[in-house]
Amino acid sequence: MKRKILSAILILSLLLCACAQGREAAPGSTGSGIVSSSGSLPGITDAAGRKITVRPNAKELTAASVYAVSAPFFTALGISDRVKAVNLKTGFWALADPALGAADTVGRGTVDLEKLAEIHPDVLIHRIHDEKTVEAVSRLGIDVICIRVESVDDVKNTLIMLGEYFGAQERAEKAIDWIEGEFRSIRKITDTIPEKERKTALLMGGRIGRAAGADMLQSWMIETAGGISVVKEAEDQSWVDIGVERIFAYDPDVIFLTGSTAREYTIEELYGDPAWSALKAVRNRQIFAMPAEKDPWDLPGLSCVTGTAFMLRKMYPDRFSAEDLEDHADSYYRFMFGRCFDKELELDYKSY
Amino acid sequence: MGREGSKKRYIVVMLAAAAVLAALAVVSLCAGKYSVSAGETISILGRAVFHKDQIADPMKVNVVLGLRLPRVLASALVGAALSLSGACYQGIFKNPLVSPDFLGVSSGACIGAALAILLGLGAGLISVFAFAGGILAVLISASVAAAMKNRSDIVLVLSGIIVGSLMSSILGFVKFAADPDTQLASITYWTMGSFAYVSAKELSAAALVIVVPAAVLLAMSWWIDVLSLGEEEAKTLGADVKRIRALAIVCSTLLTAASVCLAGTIGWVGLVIPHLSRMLIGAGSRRLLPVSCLAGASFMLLVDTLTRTVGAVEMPVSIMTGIIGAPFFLWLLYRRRERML
Repeated sequence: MKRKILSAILILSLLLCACAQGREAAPGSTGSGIVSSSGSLPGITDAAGRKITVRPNAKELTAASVYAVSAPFFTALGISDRVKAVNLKTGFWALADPALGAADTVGRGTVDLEKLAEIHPDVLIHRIHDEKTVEAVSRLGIDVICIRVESVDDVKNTLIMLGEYFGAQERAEKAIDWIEGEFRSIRKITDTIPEKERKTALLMGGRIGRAAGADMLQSWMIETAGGISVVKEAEDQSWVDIGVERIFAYDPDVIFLTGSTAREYTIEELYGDPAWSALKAVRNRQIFAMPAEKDPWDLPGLSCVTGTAFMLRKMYPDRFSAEDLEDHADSYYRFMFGRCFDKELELDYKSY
Repeated sequence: MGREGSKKRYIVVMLAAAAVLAALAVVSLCAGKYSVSAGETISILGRAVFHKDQIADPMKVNVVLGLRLPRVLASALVGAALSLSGACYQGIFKNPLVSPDFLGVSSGACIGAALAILLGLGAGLISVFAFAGGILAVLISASVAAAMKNRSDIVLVLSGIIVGSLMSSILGFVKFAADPDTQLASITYWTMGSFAYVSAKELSAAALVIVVPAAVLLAMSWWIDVLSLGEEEAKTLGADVKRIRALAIVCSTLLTAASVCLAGTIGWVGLVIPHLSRMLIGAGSRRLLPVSCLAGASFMLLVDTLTRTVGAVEMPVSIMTGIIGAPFFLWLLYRRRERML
């Protein structure tokens, strides 16, 4: 028996050695922890603090992603034709950006590693806090760039970082100029709102009682639209289950409902629920779903511009007209896709 | 069947099980969405073992050595560990329905992992938290049983059920608090088991924790048989029942906790495979435990290969073990129905 056990251990050790050899032998690996130290090539640092080498053939590099947030960045940078796999949040993107619509998928949320190896992109664009995927993809010799989009600065940094990696710096700069220009015009209006007239607001998630955390982009959008985000205690870059009672205690003037994730409830249910009837937002019918007919305007990314404009329109309709909102929305879609889609989708911003 | 015939049957079953395991390992290394032929796979493996420069396409080398080899080894190791652990528990507690996680080890490990994910910790710390959570759950189960001052096995089984339920509720709370877009998916994936992201580093660490207790359990298989006779009979044969049982529980718990750390929660294997092995070789632990190891390793290899080749997207392992395990267990029960009356 002892001899059999020892033999089994010996075989296992040999195979483990082969595994280790595989890790060392992985050619072309430039992912986490195995960045080329040749020094001559420039590099970028991703949101997870990892260094990634920028290759000389940057303008030819291909990408894949399972992280839905990354799709708008591909479009914004004009590199959709280099995207081999993507996770599109809505069917709109396939219509608006046919190159992305034609791309394959390598999973939704989690990466199918073998399929990724088969389509063999140069880089996987992924979310932060998923070391296992980063490590496994790096073993395939495929770069991984982790992105984090929880503020407008994150949006700009992501554009710069991906622009650098894909050789699309000029387009990244244009996108940043556009974002800054849009927010400048929004701030011109919100700066004139007196402190005492500012409305309190929160953005509720897919479940009743779940709100966007204080450090989330959605809460930043409320503040930038001239509102006061009531979710201040939860210093968390995540959705927070603050509970219905807390929402009743906050009693916000306006409640926005997410358009970027599936909701388990409707506006009518909230208006019809007697328990909610005492809330200011219900009494004054100030509950609004974030538009998502095209792309969700509260999805972290460049649409935060239109999302913020929408919030401004809803909180201060006298200061920001439907035509103003339409201008911002048109500007966004023209910048991203070179055209608007109102006729195809029969959208009327006046109803917003 | 005489003693000689029984030994011959054992040798035949062991050789057949080893051959099936080897064949499945080769198939598993060659199968997948990324196409690598059997010849190329063997060449890549051979060159890696003998430290020769690889001549195959770099991506093929990365897929075989970086993805498939760690997961083939991990699935075989975890299958063997869970089956061995299940067979031991069933022997010690004389209960055919006991599975490796009955003392709450899997749900405890899941809570540890989920907490680490919620705190945004890295992969290494997630495994450490999972291992600690699993061990802590078993310690609580054992302490509850000890506090009852009743040495009956049923008290330990019941305390395991109570702790397991408590852990499941805590896990539910952690999932409720998790970010639905990022953390919840990771936690759910962890609770359903997967070998997709196993690395050589994790495998080496888990192999250490699995191989030593597995060797101890295989070496003490005769004592497990003695325990299965009942406490009084075991004492008359000179067994230190308390110590032997404690050692077997510790080793089985280590096997299960290390398995959960490596691949998440995987159901059915530790329950079904010992029954299948018992059908093939009988109830004696000296033969049952090695056969369970080989059969468990083969079953898990088969399941893992199916999860990554069937369907457009890779399926969590527990879904497949449930789909195969539940009908199979039903069939086993049907076959043994007369003996159960």
